Amino acid sequence: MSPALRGLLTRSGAGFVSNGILVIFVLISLFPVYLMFITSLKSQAELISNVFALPHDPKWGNYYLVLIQRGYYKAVINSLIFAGSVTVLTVLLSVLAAFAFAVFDFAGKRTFFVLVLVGLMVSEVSILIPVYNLLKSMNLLNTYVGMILPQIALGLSFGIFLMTTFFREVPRELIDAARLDGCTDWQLLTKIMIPVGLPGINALAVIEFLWAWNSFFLPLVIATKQELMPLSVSVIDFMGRFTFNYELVATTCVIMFVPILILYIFTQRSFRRGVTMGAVK
Amino acid sequence: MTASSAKLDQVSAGPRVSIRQVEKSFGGTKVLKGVDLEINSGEFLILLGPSGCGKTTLLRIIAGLEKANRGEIWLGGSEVSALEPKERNVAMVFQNYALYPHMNVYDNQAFSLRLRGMSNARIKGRVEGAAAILGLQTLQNRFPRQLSGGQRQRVSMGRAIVRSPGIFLFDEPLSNLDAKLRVHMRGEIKDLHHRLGTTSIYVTHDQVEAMTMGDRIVVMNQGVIEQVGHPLDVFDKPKNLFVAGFVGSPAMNLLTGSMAMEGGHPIVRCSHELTVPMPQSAMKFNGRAVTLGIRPHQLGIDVRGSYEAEIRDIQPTGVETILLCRLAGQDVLVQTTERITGKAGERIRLSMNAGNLHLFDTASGERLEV
Amino acid sequence: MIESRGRKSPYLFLAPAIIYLGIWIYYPIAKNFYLSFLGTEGTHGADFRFVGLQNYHQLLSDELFHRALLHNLVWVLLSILVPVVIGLVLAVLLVHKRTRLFYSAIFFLPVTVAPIMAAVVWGWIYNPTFGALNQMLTLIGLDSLAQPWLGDAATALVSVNMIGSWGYYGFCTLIFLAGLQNIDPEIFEAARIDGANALQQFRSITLPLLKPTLTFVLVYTTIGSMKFFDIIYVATKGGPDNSTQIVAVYMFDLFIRQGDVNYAAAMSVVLTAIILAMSLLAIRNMTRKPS
Ligand SMILES: Nc1ncnc2c1ncn2[C@@H]1O[C@H](COP(=O)(O)OP(=O)(O)OP(=O)(O)O)[C@@H](O)[C@H]1O
Ligand SMILES: [Mg+2]
Repeated sequence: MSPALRGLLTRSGAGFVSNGILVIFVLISLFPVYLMFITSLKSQAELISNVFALPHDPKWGNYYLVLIQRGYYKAVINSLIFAGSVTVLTVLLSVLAAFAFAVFDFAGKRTFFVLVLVGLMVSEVSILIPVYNLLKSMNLLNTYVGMILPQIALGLSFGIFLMTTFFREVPRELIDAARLDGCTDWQLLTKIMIPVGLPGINALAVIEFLWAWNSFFLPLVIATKQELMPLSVSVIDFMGRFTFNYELVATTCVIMFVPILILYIFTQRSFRRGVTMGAVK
Repeated sequence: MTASSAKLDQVSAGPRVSIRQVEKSFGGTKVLKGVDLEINSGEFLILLGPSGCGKTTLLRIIAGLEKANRGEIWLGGSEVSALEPKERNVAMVFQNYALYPHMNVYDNQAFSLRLRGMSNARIKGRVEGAAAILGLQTLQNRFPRQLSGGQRQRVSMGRAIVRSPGIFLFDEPLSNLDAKLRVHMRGEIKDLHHRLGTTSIYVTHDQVEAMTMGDRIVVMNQGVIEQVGHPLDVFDKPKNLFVAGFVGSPAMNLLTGSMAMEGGHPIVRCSHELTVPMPQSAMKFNGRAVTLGIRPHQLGIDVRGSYEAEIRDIQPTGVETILLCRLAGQDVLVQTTERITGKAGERIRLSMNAGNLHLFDTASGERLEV
Repeated sequence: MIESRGRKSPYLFLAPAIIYLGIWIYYPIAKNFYLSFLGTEGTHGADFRFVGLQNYHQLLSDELFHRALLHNLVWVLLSILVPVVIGLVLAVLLVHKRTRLFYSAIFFLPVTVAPIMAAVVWGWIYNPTFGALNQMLTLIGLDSLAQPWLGDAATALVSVNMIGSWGYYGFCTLIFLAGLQNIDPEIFEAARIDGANALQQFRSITLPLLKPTLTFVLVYTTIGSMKFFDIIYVATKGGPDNSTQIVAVYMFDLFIRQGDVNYAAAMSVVLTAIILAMSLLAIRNMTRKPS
């Protein structure tokens, strides 16, 4: 075999292996999601006899059953209120703090930043007891506000960190120009930093929304009344009561996942930016 | 000049600027080490110096974007060191233009006026006036990313002039433009200055800009001012070795040697084969280590010249030719308008006129007047 | 950077977030610290009194706590060995491919799936009777390997970790991909001209230049692994036989079921301290410049 030909073969061999690995991970990534979708459309009988394939006779009725008859639509609304409020408030607080960190020099800056980073390292389970008692003393258990307030704190440190990275990317001359043009600090934030940093703000927003939507622990403890439960807690609650109705549990999962899937499809760039920005810069 | 541009014209020239004993450190490093400078009302001052010497820092301190550790800034008779940038009526034009990427050309210029609460009609008048001067009329609705470098440069000038500032600060505004556009914009900036009379401080790396644009030039190095003066004065009488080497392109030839007496006449001995006779008045420096300076265009190629050199390289630029030569163990540049037919390795003879020589004390770098 | 020169505004911008964190993070940490020195005579609601280090003493002898902590450490290791390594490999495979956006978008999909949903779906995949995994093994003639993955103490911890890994490698891929794309391709060109093969290039260029990214991922993974909760709580609740018990789940159990608030508080203080120490150590070690 000529060396050139051999080189070509080993190269295409390496290409074959690398493409093989990629395809395998595509399958691994998609299979559980696929399984969730097809399970939600099956009948009880089909669950065991036909695990992998598409349902013979898709039971779209499962969705009607879960959403309307079981009143699951309320959990969708709860999740929207919960995740939406958490996102808006987290982004707001993060932007304000990040503006201070990225643009100003002030006494105690490093200390404050370390203090913020500590927030990244605290487990939600760790702070449960004091948080629970605090909410109880404020009469906020089993309220939207009670779910939302502590949840913001969990994503806030990350938000400040990410936004600070984004704001640091704004060229110094742009800030100089705005100050010379007569901006107050507040105008610098609202008229320059926020519009210029909008891609970063979007990135933070989608990530915080994802986390809040998928968050489970605090809502589990704080929202014990069914009419307040967001989807994550509802899914587990539902599973507890209909343990063997896998197809219905799958339906609740799909209902929880579809909004995120849509968000993901339409804001992929933001997700990508948000995930990679803090790490690579 | 169009009628509308008249709205921008200033009645009186910009204020006088005094920089007094300004010092600035970042962390542990001192970037400005006591800068003193008086800039006259309406003057166009050039700030020249190597990269990192503190030019931008000085501009930012004048603008109020940075606070000096020590010293004062006076604008038109009042101390402004404690004032915010917007209270100083200063405009700055940046090397990278720093246009607001989320605003179109019109809004970029109108921004500062809106912040001041000016009426929309007056804003429109001003922006249109600037557009007429700078040829931006057709670009008003574009965003910065849709503009060429030269157009962005104009917009950033427009943004500065609509405010009718008392002082213009330019930080290498033309260095990102191609050569042709640079020549054109140079003319426009000078024109604008004549028309508006704004006190201007202009940072540049470009020797031609430095020589041609300003009333005076300031040469900075490592946070101190080395020399201030009319461009030709600085060129003809550099105060020290640094200025001699920095101002002028190609740079002045500097030959190290020592002052000695030969047959009762003062000479500079660079090596045993190279001695340069000096005027009698240089006798007082006898025994000192000195550096002899001569500009490349003042080294003549002359078959009767007293100095023999070897050609190392020939760089014809069309208008002129630059020769890199080896003269008594030191490299020298020779600039001539003649076309040179020789080759590297050939030997030529050079002459220098005593009146064109500069003499410096090697140890202190100071100019020695003979 | 705008020098503050006695201006208040940076503090005003910072205040809302710091006050917020103060109420919901710092105050709870401090409160836990305080609670951890109190104790009751045993049951709910009895009067609390100062018991000194008693709760911490109890931690020292609590074998379940030690096991839980060990499981957390195993979790850290597994999370580095599986998703981080997979992420790195996938990123290296993708970085020069034109299809990298497509692939990485798919790999990231599991990251968007809620941990509790992952636990539910993978619970089915692992199910001994109708689970896809066992069925697949049977299909390819490996039915001897089929087993109750989550039900057997021997396989449960690794199996649960695979659920977490499934939802994490896409995250790592994306970050490593960005890190790799940040490396100037000319450096690789130069190395290839110097005759470096693929492995040498990876060892002598990719890894060193990827170090900041690697540091971030490792620290992030460590912190996340120590705090882990959702998937284990839903998939196994720490069982079977405490084989998947980790600190957060144990702590939650103490609080909810046993009502031992003070003991749980001591545990949370120790957990927080360990996470802080590990992160600091990791950051220090990995950012130290070669002398
Ligand atoms: N914010 C800062 N923090 C720390 N050091 C700084 C800062 N700004 C400038 N410096 C340092 O101060 C010195 C002077 O910088 P400056 O930007 O004023 O130089 P310059 O003369 O404008 O140079 P150039 O011609 O390259 O623009 C440099 O060594 C620079 O590294
Ligand atoms: Mg500069």
